[in-house]
Amino acid sequence: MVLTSEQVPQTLKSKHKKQRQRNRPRNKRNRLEDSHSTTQETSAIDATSAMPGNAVDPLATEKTRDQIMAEREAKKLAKQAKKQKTAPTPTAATPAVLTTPSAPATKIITEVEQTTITTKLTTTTTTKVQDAVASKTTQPAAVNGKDAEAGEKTREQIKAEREAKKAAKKAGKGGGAKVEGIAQQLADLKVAEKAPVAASAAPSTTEADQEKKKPALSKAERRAIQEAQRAAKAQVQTKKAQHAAKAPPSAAPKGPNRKSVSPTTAATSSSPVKCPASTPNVDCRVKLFNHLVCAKEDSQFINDPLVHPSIARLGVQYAKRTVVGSNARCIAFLHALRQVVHDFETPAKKEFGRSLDAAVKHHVDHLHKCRPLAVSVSNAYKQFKNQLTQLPADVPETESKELLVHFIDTYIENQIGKAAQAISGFLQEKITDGDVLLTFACSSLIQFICEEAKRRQVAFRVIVVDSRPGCEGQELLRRLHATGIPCTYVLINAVGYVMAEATKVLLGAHALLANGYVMARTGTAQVALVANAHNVPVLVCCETHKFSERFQTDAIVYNELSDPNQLVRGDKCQLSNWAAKGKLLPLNLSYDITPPELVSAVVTEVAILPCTSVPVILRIKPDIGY
Amino acid sequence: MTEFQAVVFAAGRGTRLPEVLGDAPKCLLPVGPYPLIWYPLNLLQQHNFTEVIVVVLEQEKLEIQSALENTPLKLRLDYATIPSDGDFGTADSLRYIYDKIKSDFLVVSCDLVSNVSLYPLINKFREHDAALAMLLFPSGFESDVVMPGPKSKHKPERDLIGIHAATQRLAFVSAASDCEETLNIQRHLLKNRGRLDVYSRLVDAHVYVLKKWVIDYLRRKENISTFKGEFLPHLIKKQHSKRPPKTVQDTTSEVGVVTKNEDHVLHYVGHTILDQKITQTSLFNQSLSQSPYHGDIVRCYGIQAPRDAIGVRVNNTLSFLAINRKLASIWNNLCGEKHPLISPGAVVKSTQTKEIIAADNAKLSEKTSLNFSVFGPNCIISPKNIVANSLIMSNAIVEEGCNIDNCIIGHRAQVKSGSVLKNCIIGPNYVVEEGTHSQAVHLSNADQFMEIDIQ
Repeated sequence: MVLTSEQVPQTLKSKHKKQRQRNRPRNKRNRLEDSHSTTQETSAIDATSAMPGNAVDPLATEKTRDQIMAEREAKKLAKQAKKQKTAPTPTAATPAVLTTPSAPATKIITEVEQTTITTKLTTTTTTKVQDAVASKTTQPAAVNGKDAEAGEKTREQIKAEREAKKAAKKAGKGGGAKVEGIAQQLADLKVAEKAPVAASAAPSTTEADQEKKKPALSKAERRAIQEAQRAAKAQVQTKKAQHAAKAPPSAAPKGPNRKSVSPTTAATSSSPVKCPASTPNVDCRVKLFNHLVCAKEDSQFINDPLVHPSIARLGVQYAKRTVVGSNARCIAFLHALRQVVHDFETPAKKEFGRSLDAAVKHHVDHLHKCRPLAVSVSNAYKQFKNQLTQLPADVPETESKELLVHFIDTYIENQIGKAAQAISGFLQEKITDGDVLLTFACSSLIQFICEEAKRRQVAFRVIVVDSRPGCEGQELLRRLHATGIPCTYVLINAVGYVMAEATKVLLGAHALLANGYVMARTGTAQVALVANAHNVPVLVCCETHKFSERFQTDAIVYNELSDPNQLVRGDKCQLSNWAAKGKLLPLNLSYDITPPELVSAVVTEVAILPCTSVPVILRIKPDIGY
Repeated sequence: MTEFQAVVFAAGRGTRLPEVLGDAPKCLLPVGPYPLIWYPLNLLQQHNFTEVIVVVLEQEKLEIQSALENTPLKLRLDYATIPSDGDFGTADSLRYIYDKIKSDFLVVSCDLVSNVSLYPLINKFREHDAALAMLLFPSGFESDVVMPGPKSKHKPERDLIGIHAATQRLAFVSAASDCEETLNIQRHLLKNRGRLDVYSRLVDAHVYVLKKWVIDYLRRKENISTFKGEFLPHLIKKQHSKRPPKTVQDTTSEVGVVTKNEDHVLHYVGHTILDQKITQTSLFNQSLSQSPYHGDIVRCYGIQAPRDAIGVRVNNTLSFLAINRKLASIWNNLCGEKHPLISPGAVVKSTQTKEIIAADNAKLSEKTSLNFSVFGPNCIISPKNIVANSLIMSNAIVEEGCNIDNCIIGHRAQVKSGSVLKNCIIGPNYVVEEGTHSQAVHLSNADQFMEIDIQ
């Protein structure tokens, strides 16, 4: 308690000194006197032995002498600087008189406040640090007094520093230290305000003449007090401002950090999107189907010596879809090939068979460039090559040509004409009165079968399911209607409603793959799936010359791309001008693949077979010699 | 075996170009640095033709041959000469060269100046196995050119062309002058064939792609003389012919039946059973309610050239001046950079020139101002001359101190010194006297002009 009580005046001294430094030189001297007087009072109160009391008395006498000298200097300065201040001196005297009776009351109040302040000081750090600084500054004043006092103060400083460190540790632990510090500072200011009042009361009792001069000082003191209060308020505001300022810089660096993170994430997210998007834009092609070759533009040639006129015409017809359908393409190919054989002239010093083989190969490559070859066309070409290699060498050219032409005619007649009759014969047993046949798109074989059934006076009905963009079912509808068969026409989105009426589903095929999958016009698999869901039998009509040795389980590995512009239905269509829209890529696939689980049976000219019998037919076909 | 043969008709007499023709052949009129016939031949060369049959008059063959040998052309020209004294129409010329035609062929007129691509025309012909495919241009190329000479109203010849919009098949082609005030259209064209568009602003380019059997049929029809005017409408009308049922032949009228069969157009069409099979099995059809092509075996198509293509028929004086006037601006589109506008053989000493065209052996002297003009082969421009917006034809001579504006100086004409001519036509072999000041007149030798009229 003694140590704590001793620390209190040091804090007061430090505050006073700071205030003096900021204020005018007169105020500084006045406050020094005030601080000395306050220390005397505190030491007298706390002293328990006689020796400290004796020591205090000479200090008081000495200070009074100092006060007198200071007062004299102040008077001189006041007279010289401000002559006008002498006029209000009588008014200053009255407040001095008023303050003197309250002196003992203020002393008691200060003692009580000191005890409360001591308890609070234990938790503060900034005030003690300030006390340490103040104690250091007080050293020259103490040295001026006595050496013994200086030694005591140095010890007090050491103790204050130790307590300050302890308090700092506690303050670090505590969260509300700053707020308490501010409150204590305000309390200290109040104490400081009262202390000068007490100090001013003491000298008034000593001399009556000095009473007249003191009102002038009291004015200066009042101004100093007001300025001190203003400075204290300013300090408090500045500290609050500093606290507020700290928050923005802490927030500011976080903001740019987040911003810096977000553009990187945006860049990473956008870059994978942009890279694949830009590449298809250049090619105008869906990325998943890049491996499928699009047909080139119109053929830009006239009078190519290597291309026969009939092949040139057929190429344009393939490219423009004037000859559509697996059977039609096969017949057209063989017809053009027949003219090639007829007009072929063997070059000099070359064999007929080999040179014709090379020429026909060139023609087939040209047709493949116009449009990828159908399976029926490829098979016909293989058979033709096989026949070409088996030609006897010693026969003259005209007879060889006749043999080839005869082979072509026989192939068309047997593989397409008689096969259609055989398939129709098998199916006539299946079509009975009251049957409702459902078919998809258009197939010349299905047309042939329906016409044959009509000729046999069977009362049946046909549902034609169609789909865009080709709308080939319209042609089948026209042909069946011309024959007199009652027909129903729906688009593929309505197949679920009409499947309930159907008793059989007849489907044409572009090709039948070796693993039993059916390759047909896009939409066929959907129709077969709906038929399977409704327990309607699905019969695929396919000639054996459309059998393929390829294995394929989806429509992506191999397919044919049609013109995407066919999907545009006019200027008001949302797809119009799709090439200008960067991310819009229409895909127009020609064929899809139907799994064998959805097909009840495949009707060929050999027999009605399951889908899995394709390899058997492919194996025995050369032996039978179709 | 070639797919197409090319035939260029160059035996025309230029009856609609009396002011500028003189005694030179029509196909050798100068258009820029080359004669007129060079342009269709160049077009065929660009389309990979190596042989062209050129139909010329007998007496003009040597002149045409020597003129074409000086031009940059790699084609092998087969000159088919027709007699000069006969009155040969284009159909007669085709019959005359019947034995030279061995495949499908292309017929081009010698007055065509164009950069259009023939591939769409050829592909349309191939796609539908057509009997005829013709090329049509938008008109209006010479509408902004002022005709020099006396003021006369220019009445362009027009065709009325009916085309089915969906299929581009020809319904009819007839000259507008043949229809007085009304146009008769067959009822079946409107009833069964859908929408019909009738054009009156399309110009027949005189480019036809024809099947070989057409010339066989033409050989049978001996009474048809002109191709465009008579045979073309006839063939288009025959599209709707049906094959007649075979009647039992009587012994007494056997000759008559044979004659009737040979007279029918379908007798010459090579439509076999296989072709019928292809049509039946193919799923293709452009009509919803009719059979493909309505069952027609003879099919004629009209293809319009793109809007931005250059296509001019140089068959009258106005179009002749228009093409020469505008040739400098369209030269790059027409022929590209290979052929320069100023011929290497020309001698150009003038320093003030702007968009001029100079042919071989043209002599343009110094101290002259030459703007927007064409100078034919072997013409001579003396010093101190001003020539603007004019056409100086071959072997013409312009002496010193002349001012020529918007004129046509004819073949072998001579303009003496000090003449000032504006909006004039100087006929061939005419001599303009010294110091002549003329405007909007046609100066020519009356005797020769009278001779032309008589012809």
